[in-house]
Amino acid sequence: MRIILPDKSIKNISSSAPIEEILLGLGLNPASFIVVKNGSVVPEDVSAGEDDEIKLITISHGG
Amino acid sequence: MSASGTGSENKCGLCGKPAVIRLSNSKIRLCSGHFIEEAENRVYAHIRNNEMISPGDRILVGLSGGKDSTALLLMLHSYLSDFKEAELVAVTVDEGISGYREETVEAAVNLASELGIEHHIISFDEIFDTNLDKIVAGKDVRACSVCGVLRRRALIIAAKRFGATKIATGHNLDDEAQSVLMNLLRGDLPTLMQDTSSGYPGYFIPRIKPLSVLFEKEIITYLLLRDFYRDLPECPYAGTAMRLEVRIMLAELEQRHPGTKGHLMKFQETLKQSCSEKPKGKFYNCRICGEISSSEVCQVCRLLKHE
Repeated sequence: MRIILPDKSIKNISSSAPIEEILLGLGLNPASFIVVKNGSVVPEDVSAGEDDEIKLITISHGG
Repeated sequence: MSASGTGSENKCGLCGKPAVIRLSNSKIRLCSGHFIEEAENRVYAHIRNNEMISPGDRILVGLSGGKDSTALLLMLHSYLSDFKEAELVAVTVDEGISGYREETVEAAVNLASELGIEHHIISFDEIFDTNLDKIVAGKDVRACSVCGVLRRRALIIAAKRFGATKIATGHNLDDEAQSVLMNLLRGDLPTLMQDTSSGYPGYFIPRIKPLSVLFEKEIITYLLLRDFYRDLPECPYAGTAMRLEVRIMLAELEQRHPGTKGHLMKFQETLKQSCSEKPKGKFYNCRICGEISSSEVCQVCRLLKHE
């Protein structure tokens, strides 16, 4: 799957798993991001497969 | 932004459509429509239960143009379009933070215009004859603390100028939980117990925080789903505050121990209820500017070196 990080960099991962677990594996706290899977907002415990695109939106402070 | 088909288990608990969120407290999954409705109803119930808005109120909404104040203005506008018992005036404070404020001010102007809400911009330059960049340049000061003190004063001045009876700010549940922990870490019981919601007759204008029942994550999700989310820059001074350390710590605790932030809020509420007498600070009128203060010279005058 293709993961677009908040800094616009891209990581490609060749496995299927709950997005929450994938983020923890990348050293990212799932509680700190909104997950957009194939253009739609989803809870972070939803699974993603090889063909999916995951975009992460940082929960930034302020506003 | 739409909801996604993500597998048989990720369904809205109310209608079976694909879910966009799993609520932190109840673990219920909701689709886009039901989440928007639930978030708004939670905020409206919070407003009603705490009698935040009274007939005849003119509410100043602190509108930075960022996510929280955008959601706040959207929800208050929607709430008052049904009840018509009070009116809104949005105020944007331009602190003078180069490379940051320009975009958020533009977002604030556009939002107020779109909703047809009276909107004013006031600046530190106009009120204090200086700005945040100038105040902190080359000095070993905590920008967020300086900014917080001056912004609070700016909103009070704006409330008087535009005839507001209350000040509404976009503080969310994460902000409030962080404040509880920060006050604990500082050993600051009076601030922990402080209730600014009712004001002090003749002194403080009541402040209301309608979004303090929504997590930051829920606010961004709400804006994404309503197509009002804008990827704006984060304040360049944000990394200098103790709040940032507490924020990271709480996010990690919440991930490992869900409910931590809610427990902090519950702790503060229980503490307030269990104390028959709240610790009271002594109030003065600042001998320089005349504003109400906890010391003979207020924080604003001390910061601006007027003493």
